[in-house]
Amino acid sequence: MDKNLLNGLDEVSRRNFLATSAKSLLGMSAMPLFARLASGQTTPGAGLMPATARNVIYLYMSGGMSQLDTFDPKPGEENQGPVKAIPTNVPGVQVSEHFPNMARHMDKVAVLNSMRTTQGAHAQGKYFMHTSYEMRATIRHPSLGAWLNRIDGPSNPTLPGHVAIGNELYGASSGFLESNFSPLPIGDPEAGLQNSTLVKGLTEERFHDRLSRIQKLNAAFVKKYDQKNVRAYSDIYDQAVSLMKSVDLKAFDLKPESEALREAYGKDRFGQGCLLARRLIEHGVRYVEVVSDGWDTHNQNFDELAQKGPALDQTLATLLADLSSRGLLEETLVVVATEFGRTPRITQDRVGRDHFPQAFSCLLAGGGIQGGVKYGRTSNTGEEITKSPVSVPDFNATIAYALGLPLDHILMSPSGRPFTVAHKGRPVKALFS
Amino acid sequence: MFTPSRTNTSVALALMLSAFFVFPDRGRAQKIDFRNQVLPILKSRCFECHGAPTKTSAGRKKRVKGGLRLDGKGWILLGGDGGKVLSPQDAKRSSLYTRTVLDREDPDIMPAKGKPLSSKETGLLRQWIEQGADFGAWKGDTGAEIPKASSGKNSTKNDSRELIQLLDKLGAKLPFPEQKALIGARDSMGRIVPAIPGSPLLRVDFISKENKIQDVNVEKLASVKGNITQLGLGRTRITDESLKVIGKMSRLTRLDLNNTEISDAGVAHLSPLTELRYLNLYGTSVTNQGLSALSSLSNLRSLYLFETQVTDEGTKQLQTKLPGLKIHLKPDLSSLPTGDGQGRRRRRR
Repeated sequence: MDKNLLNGLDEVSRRNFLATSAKSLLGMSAMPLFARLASGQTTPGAGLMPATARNVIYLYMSGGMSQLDTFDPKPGEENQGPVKAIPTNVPGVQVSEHFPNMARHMDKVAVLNSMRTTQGAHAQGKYFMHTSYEMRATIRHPSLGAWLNRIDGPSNPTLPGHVAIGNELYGASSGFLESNFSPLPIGDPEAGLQNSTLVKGLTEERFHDRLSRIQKLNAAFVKKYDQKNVRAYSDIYDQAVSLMKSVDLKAFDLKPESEALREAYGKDRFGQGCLLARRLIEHGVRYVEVVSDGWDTHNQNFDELAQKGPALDQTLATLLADLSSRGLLEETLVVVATEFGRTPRITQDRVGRDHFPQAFSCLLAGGGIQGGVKYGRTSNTGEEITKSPVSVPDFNATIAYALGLPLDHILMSPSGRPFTVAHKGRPVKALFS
Repeated sequence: MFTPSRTNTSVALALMLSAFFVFPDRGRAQKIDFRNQVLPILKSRCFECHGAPTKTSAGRKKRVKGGLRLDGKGWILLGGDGGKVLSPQDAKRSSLYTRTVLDREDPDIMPAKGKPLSSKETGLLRQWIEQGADFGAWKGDTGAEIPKASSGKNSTKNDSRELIQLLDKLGAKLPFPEQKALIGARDSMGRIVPAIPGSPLLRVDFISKENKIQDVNVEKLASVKGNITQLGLGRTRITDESLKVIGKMSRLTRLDLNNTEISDAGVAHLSPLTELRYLNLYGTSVTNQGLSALSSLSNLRSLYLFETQVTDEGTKQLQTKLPGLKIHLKPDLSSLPTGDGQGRRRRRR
């Protein structure tokens, strides 16, 4: 019996547990796992798998990051253009000259040079990268952060489990899942969490009076339409109120961080967003996406990359060093993703690179990933994958595998269609140590 | 037998429970013959999706569902994309069985097509697994591409990830904590979850309201101390007093004490924790002296000492004693921009 109590994750003992001990053990906040099983919030059969990562910092290079000018340089090739390759602290792994800081951290990183996607347009590509499903008119698919929080729940019950930081937050979404799995959007990381304190002049008492009125007004409706989407809506109120009162709200404030560290992260939105991501992870937010935009370098690719490359280099190297020195990197998976690559061939008229879905590069670090690894190869011209292609669903399955999300677990959309976390992608298990 | 309706849940439960507890005669029951009793079920209901890859009429290769093949002993022991499906003697941890007894309308029920297996069929599967999953002489498909499968009992044995193998090993013969002990530990205010699914090992985190967590909270974990393998107390108000309790958690592999009030005197209590792999002391007042207590931790892999009194000099001795240990003393940020124009250039937009 005691074994079944703990082993609450497989179907049979789950029922067993429900029958015998749920009511005697409903200390919900202390036992969220068991509580969720008892409340039926987790679909039966969603057996979690062993995990090496608990959290994800997902850095999204919006627009399509040029692989040749970043993490898949082709020194000596005509397609490489003026950007040189430099050696790193891992023999055999080179990065472009824009990444001198990352060159000293590549022992923490697995570079996937053989990414490929089926989408060549931005909106579709971003959607596919975030959800593993192609865009359809009839449904919205949940992104990975929503899946994680839906299947495994937050670590800190008073903070949102899913946060997205940046100007243009396209892709991270709760999809067809209940709206409380949507990311909490943060435009300006330095402004902290907006509207999280009581309006001036509003007393605690009046605030609660208002809330209870809302509840009264809603009561009849909620009773009549007792379904998860309606409940999710009122849950949002509860979550917002508990967030307002949470002592953990300080996680959103960057002021306690030293000026030197804030400088080191880079004093722009992406840099400060990464610092905020670290603070949120520390306080139990499980999935934080930070978006860096402007990677769509059709024109003057090399001038643009000379700006964007070093900026990413500084922020990413600082993030990895900071996470590592605080002991967070072992359980935090850092992902660098983008929707597609850019053409190896340089356009003559605009000195740019266009969209290239056939081959691009992404990075994984921490969270059980073996560092110092280069996975997959592209040809010398960079125009085709020559070894170990990784599809977008495979890439997401790899993240899900690190997090222990069951890849074969089906969630039904409201219209009754079955979906899985990485759409049948297969994890690249070779990347794990 | 199992209907999705809530009102019938208790009936279903009673039946389910009876399946486990009313027939305890697994030793005496007639031994199930795999080839004659189990294989026909697999053949008729499973092989279509979980057999050798076939070609469709269009000549395209049809993928094996879930990466799982059931048409050979090696394949069955290997499992699918989601891990192992068979734990001999443990039907409850064998998805080969559990997936067949879900609610008829559960999206995860197997077979995915057609009627669910009959209770006689699922009973045979369960009994066969409980009896040790003996395949007899049957080997089935022995494709050369089957990687070597271990015949281990635990569902995680095939996982090559070191951390998971370690937790699997530590939890292997450990009894599950008693319900009473768990309820006592719950009062600690910590978040308690299995360290890996299905394991008797526990992970305990104090991640919310850290500034309210004190030594009394940690004391309440004493009832499950042998089961705790991962403990997060970062930024809480605990003191050296708590480390006395923690020093008795013999299966502890991961301990996070960052930014707490602990000192060298407390760290001394950690020396018996030889299973420790990860120790986070960053932001504490630990000094070079405190490190000497750690030299007995022969399995320690990562030690975090950022923002402590420890110096490079102080780590040297420990490093000699524990050559496999990685000591994180300062962040590797030596290439910070210096304002001489070599650093981050202003972005154009």
